[in-house]
Amino acid sequence: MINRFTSVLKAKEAGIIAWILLVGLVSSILSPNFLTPNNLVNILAQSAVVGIMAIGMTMVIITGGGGIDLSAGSILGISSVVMAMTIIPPELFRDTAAMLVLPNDFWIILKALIFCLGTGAVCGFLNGCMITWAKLPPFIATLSLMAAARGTAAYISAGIPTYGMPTSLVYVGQGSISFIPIPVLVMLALGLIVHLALTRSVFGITLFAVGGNRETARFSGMNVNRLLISVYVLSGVFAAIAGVILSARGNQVHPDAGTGYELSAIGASVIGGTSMMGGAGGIPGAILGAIFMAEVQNVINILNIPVAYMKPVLGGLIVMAVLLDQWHKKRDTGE
Amino acid sequence: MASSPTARKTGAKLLSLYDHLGIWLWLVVFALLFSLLSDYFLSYANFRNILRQASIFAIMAVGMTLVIASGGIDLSVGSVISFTSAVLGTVWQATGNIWLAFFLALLAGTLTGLANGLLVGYCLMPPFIATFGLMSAGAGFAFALTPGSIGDFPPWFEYLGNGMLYRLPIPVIVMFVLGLLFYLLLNHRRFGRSVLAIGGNENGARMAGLDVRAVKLAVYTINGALASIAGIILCARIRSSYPGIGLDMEMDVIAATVIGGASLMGGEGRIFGAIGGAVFICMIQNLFNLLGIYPFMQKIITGLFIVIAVFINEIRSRRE
Repeated sequence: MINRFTSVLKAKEAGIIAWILLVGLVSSILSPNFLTPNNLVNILAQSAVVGIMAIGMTMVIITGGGGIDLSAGSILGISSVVMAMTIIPPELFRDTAAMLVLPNDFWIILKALIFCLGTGAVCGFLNGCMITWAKLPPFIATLSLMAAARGTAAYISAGIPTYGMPTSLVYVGQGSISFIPIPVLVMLALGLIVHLALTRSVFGITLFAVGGNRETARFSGMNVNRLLISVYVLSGVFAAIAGVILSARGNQVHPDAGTGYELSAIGASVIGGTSMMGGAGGIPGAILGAIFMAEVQNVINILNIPVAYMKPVLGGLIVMAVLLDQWHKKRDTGE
Repeated sequence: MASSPTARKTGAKLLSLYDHLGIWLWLVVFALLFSLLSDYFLSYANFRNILRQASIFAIMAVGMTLVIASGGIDLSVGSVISFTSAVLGTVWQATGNIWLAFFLALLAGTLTGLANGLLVGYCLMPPFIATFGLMSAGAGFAFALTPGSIGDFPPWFEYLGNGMLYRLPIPVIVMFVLGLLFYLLLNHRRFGRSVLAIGGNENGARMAGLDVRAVKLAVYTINGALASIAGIILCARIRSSYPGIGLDMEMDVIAATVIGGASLMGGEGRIFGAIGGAVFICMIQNLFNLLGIYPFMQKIITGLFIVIAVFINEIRSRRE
């Protein structure tokens, strides 16, 4: 029993779980509205979009060598715009006056989802090509795609937001099965699949090998370029899925959707113990990191703290979490 | 097929010429191309305008070059601009003393840089995370200080941003003076060599007895100070302060630095290259405005230019 307890304490994710509990404890003392079933479920639902993006981002960061995907937020934007433009008849698309009521045509929605995820995959593929074939630093490659994808999203939609999605799609964003919101289920299911892939498949072994030491991985005969491209494609696809969830949850598509989300996803990954140096990290940590960030935002709202302080508090917490993590690691390795 | 020795020699000469001129060569080529596209492009007044606009980014890019040369990155410079601007406006409104406002604003930006330096140098945090933290903090505090814009600065202060000295805008003069100063610091002083050594091989530099922590602290503090100078000049130029003024600026600055020939891996940096990169980005945007191209398209094409510029740098360094 005690053994099991200490093994939980030593788990990689112990730090972030402790943070979530600590912030929860303090907030439930400060406000009676925090510790209610509704609010806790709400926090989980809020974390889903960033959480799904953080799954892809974690894989990208694990590849090391400065691996980062700054374009994730813009990919979210452009793929949701593509989805909306597929669902909505062109003559209605720029009609901003009315909230649209659209039929639940299965084939149209399926087509829209395929186009949406396809857009994410194509963007990710472009990132991968720039990084492997043109050998651009990931920071620059994804930075330029961040600008280009956001510009394209605004261009094809003429910068006009769209309100109203088919009700079946809205259900994906707002509905819940028993008491768990569907976005949370999507996040957990995707997280579980990727977690298994990382821990028990050749893909995972290759990923951590490449992240640990790229040259060694190449000399051992691993196809580093193929791995990098597939990781960036996956990150693009996850950003697109996050876009579906965000549009469905808000029942609207805005070409500016997801601006700055890439930084939240990076923050969630890093709080969750993924090393910016590459080669180390995990999906459970990333999802817990996203939940933590949603929790902090929720607390700031509940306590009526001015919104201007939201960013400083979040930034400060990320810095503090990483500092504590480093201190922890240093003590463990006895340096 | 072997090329003749003379041809190879000419090729090598051209390549080394390109290495020295880098982005400035592209600047001239594109300026000529652009002048074909718009009748209004190639005029003294328009170039003065481009340079004046670029000077803000260029001053920031000078500091960013030091940071990137040391193997780091600073995402917080845009927020430093916002924060500096908010402090300047708030203090000016509260006390009516522009000198006090000026120095407190400079101090605020420099302290933000110092905090970055402490986190990166002494707490060994990854620069991306540390400066991301201060980016959030700076942006938030700027809005917490003052949600709206503040103006009515004294004329001499506004002159800092709009005035001319011998037909040259004052911000442009400041840009060249700071550029020269930091060019000498980076390429002809021991401090600069330490920065490049740390960026090239941090462990090696530490073994060789360099105080890595202190150098990093200095680099980030300098960057904060330069960003706040840019912020103050920007406020003077637009005759007001606004807490959202620096939003997303860091990306353009990093792009300018990298277009100018800095390697994100560290150990390499060109001050005048970064200044050229800033001018290049502003020149493209200027042309787009002259041609009446959508701002959305501007983003796409700017992204494309960054990729091409960095790709060319990459090919060049691969040859070496």
